[in-house]
Amino acid sequence: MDNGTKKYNAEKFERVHLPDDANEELSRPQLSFWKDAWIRLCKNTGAITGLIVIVFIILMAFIGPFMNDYTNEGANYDAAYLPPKVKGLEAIGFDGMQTYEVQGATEEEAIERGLAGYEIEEEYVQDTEVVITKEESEDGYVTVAMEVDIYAARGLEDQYFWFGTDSMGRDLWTRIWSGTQISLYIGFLAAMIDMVIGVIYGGISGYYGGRTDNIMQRIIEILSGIPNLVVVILMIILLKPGLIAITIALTITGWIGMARIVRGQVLKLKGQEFILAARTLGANDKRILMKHLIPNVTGMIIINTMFTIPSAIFFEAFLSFIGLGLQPPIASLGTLIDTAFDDYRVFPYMLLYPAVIISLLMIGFNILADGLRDALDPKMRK
Amino acid sequence: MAKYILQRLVYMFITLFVIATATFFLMQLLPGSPFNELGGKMTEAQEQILLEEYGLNDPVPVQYAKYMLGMVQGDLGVSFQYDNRSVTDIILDRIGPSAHLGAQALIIGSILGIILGMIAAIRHNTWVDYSSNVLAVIGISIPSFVFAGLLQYYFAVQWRIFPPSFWEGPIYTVLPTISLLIFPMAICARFMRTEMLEVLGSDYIELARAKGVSNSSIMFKHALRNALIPVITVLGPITVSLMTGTLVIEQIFAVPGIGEQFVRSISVNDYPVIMGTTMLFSVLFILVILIVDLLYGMIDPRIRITGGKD
Amino acid sequence: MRGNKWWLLVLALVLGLVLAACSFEDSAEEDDTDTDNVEENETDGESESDGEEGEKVLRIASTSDIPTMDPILAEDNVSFQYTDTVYEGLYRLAPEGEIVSGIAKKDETEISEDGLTYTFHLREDAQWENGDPVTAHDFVYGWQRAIDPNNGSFYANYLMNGKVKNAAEIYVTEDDESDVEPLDPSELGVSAPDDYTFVVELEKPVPYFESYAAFQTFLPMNQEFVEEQGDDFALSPDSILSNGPFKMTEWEAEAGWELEKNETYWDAENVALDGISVKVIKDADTALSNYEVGELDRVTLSGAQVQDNQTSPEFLSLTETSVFWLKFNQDSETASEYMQNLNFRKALAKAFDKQAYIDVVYGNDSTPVNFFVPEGFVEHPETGEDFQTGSDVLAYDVEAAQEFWEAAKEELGFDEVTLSFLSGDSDVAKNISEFMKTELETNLEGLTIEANNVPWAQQLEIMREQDYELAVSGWGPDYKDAISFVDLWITDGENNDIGYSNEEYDALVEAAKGELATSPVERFEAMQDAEKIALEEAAIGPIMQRKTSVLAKDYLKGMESLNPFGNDYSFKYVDIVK
Repeated sequence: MDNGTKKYNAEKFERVHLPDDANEELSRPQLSFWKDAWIRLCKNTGAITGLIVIVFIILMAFIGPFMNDYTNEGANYDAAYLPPKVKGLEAIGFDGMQTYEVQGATEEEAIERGLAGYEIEEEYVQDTEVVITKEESEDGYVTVAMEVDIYAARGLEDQYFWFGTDSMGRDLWTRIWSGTQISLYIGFLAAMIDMVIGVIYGGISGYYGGRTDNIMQRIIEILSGIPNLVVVILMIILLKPGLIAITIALTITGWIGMARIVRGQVLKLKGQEFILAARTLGANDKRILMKHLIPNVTGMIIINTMFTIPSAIFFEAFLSFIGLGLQPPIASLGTLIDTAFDDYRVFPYMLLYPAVIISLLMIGFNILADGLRDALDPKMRK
Repeated sequence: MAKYILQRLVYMFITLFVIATATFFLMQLLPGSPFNELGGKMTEAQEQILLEEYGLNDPVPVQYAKYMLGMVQGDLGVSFQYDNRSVTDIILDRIGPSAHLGAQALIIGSILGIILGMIAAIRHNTWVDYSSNVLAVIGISIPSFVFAGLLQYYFAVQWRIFPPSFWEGPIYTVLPTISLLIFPMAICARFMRTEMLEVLGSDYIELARAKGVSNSSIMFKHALRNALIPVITVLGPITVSLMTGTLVIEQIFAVPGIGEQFVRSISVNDYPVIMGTTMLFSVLFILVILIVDLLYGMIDPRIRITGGKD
Repeated sequence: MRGNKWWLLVLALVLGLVLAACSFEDSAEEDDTDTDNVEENETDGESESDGEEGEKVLRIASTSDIPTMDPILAEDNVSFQYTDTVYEGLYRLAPEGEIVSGIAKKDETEISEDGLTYTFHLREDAQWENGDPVTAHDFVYGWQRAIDPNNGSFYANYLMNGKVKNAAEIYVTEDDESDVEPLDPSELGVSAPDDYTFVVELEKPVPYFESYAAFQTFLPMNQEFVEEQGDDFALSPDSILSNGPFKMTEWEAEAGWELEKNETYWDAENVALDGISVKVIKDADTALSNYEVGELDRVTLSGAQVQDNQTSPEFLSLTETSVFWLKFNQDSETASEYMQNLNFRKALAKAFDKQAYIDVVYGNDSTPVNFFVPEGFVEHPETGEDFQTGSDVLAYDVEAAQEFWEAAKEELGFDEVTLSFLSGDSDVAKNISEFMKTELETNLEGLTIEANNVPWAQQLEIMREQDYELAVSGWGPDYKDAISFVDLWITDGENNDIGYSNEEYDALVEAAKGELATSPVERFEAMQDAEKIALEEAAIGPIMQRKTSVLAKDYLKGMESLNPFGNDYSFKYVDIVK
């Protein structure tokens, strides 16, 4: 006590004099909440990078399919399983070479088996290399990696499939970008459902509490309890499998996670002083919810949305997988990854591109979301 | 408190009753009969005999009453697809591995996630933050079947570190646990980071700092605890879905779990198994939500869920 | 107070841990009901992997658990496979589909001249696992148990109804309109004049009755044991009493099962394997991974795996007796007038590339076919020639297809038509509908195909109600006789879901089923003629005869072919020669 008071004795302080009207002066231009948030977002380089990535992917999703002459549907069985080939980029791997691993008792036999099995003329083999020798292997066979100019072998030297082709010889570039459109639609749809139904439901349930909360939570329990798959199958029977069915399937239960998070946060916040203050000042329920509680939950809402989007995209893939999703030849990133995974050991390119796009999209969204969170957080507004 | 819990348990029975009823009637609308695995070789008359034997020729309300009566007495019926095996046995057989894997993944995943999230929050907007973010995002943007498949191919087939599949001992749980824990880890890390940032910016943390409380004490005593609410909210349902098994992981690692069983029972119209598993999931789900609600109050004494808004 | 609550939180976490630990302990306990089992398993595992002790254990995977080990309830490949392994009936299937002696001595079997009475003479050295002899009474009980409607055996009725004496009168539904009181199962036309003679009386001659004698529905049962087990019968290894080459020692639901050589089997000295270890693996890639690390001796390939592994020296393709075809439903409400036109059907049947279909859908070397009775299935009773002599009326030929198409357009007076194509929801089924859509639309001008992919259960229902227009389906036989296939398309036949009807065809098939039963050559030729008629009329559009692709270690012998019906392999004859 003594020490403290001595340290800070009155002489050390000097009164700052301000003109009387200075209190009324604004230190910076008055900005609306959104404008202010936008300015702060622009200062965050990470968030802007994320935004650019997303915008780029969205643009490509709409422009991409028209960048070459191939279509989403046209099957061409002669052109099945062609690796990526791009004019001018042959040097960095987009050369349309396919590597097959073949086995045999000797190197020659392995190559022979390979040529017969994949129906390739010997002249198109560019290079062979023994990967596993007889001594190294467990079963006594030589494994040879055989590099084949598959475009030439199929007589398609003048074709350029930028991302390669699938099992039916369709251009993956076109399919991937069209698929991105579908996945984006599903992602945004899921986000919208979360934002609208989830936030409002959770907000009301948490804020009013008591009997309202009780009933609303029991409804959530019931909706979560009835097996989703049963409902989805029934819906597919009522409607035709396709985008509408998926949309409704998502709508039924997609918002429950968000509602629970918002409720949890509102429960936590509603007892705090600033809500009490607002109520004392005569704010009505709607105002307290929309102007005070929800903005304080923004961070959580954004983060949760970031999980909803990929979950929804893969839920769609799962539906397609069990036959309840999109009808072929329409594809989404999820279904493309799903089918590509069957072949990934021999044709890794089929898996690589959709996976990279979906990851880039997600990383972009997340970095942007972090920036948004910082920008929208009322407490960070200084 | 005891009264509140009791009240919730009463609600639980009402909720369960509604779920059972809804599922029962919805299930009846599923296409096909339970006895069509033969691919059309069965004639109408034979199907009639089987339907009769399993009591499926009764009007649906009668079937419903019979089923509910049985359920109240603890009898969940017998499976159609495994002739005469009781549903209770099937569930008990299968829940073990699923629950084991789920618990392992949940505990490891959430602890890792919480640590990752805390570090990211403390080192806000540094490379640590960004890389933990990217790690979490990649974890959720790669579908689990791809992730699990790659794990299996590299760790089991190429490098021979772990066995590729089966359920025969602790070493066999490594790969499926890793594939399962990605999601809870990512979700914990992201929520933890966000909430932690919020908490760290709040007045009471400033106050604690001003009071000279040590950094670790601030982190663990004040911040962590207050940042746990959203993590617990999301972990609740995840716990249930992890413990009750995942189709994809169980198929890829050949784990005899219940998740796979459930999806199949729906596709072959094995009504008693659908009902039994649904009831199990629902009971777990409701209990977990109850626990989460109780935890809210424990973590943050300011939260009262028992009363109204006043 | 605060500390107290923290403690509660920790408690909740610990509780979670304990719960998890409990489930682990539980499952561990279940694993070793007798305590030595764990060690046993471990040593087993070692001996399997290095194989030095010379234990011949076949290690394979199954895509599903065994749905049932009760032979009369068996309806699927897995159940057939393992009931056959554990039990032995009158006859058994040897590799290449040959039917050989089992409990009954095949060369001593007497068939009455009218073909209505079969007398089997049983060997006297056969016994059950518990030491009881296998007698004719066990067969009588087994057959009666199968036909008892209370036991709900699908195959017993399917195979015996109208063929074995009184079977139809015993297997009666309560809902049947006739007020006839069902007969007691003991009235079934089977009897045991003495312990080692088993007599079967038939309603009409069944030329393929030999197949029945080797089929799983007709196995003997030890009455005392079955009744003692009651409802638990065949649910666990303890409730199965073996009389066959192997006995089941362990069976863990959805995980796998172990079989061990049955030393009390009468022919045990000719059983080469010491045991069979089966793991349930549903995912094809997982099965392949296990094969690659040496955990399995043999693996069945699916989808893209076939292409990836076709050049491996361990790759094998086995011909099945399943044939697939394109169905034209002539009875649908929406498109029957088109489908009833012969030129229309012929155009559709010839307009798609069957080889491309196989390449795209299966990627293996299944055979494109222009017929519907499989090749290599039955032989001419005298000359031994294959039933299938080939046909090219429905071969792939775009130009011919287009000519038929133009003719059909003229006859029916249409320019454009839309047909729906019913298919399932699996990846394979989706590929099928995509392929068919592309091929048919490209080759036939003015045709639009609408793919309708629905869940399997719904697909079956739609097929049964004949509510589809086009669909692909296949058929696998349950006994070794061409009638299994030609019987499909008789007018209003139970399995005729294409609405095909032709009097001449019906007459030939009825003759083969009835009056020609005792004259094998004419019967055989009648069925060949029937098939020709159906093909010329394009009742269906044949596509392919399927093959199964596998990878198998070269030390595995006796699994190089598939049996034509019933169990796929006969483990009795399998050997491991390292």
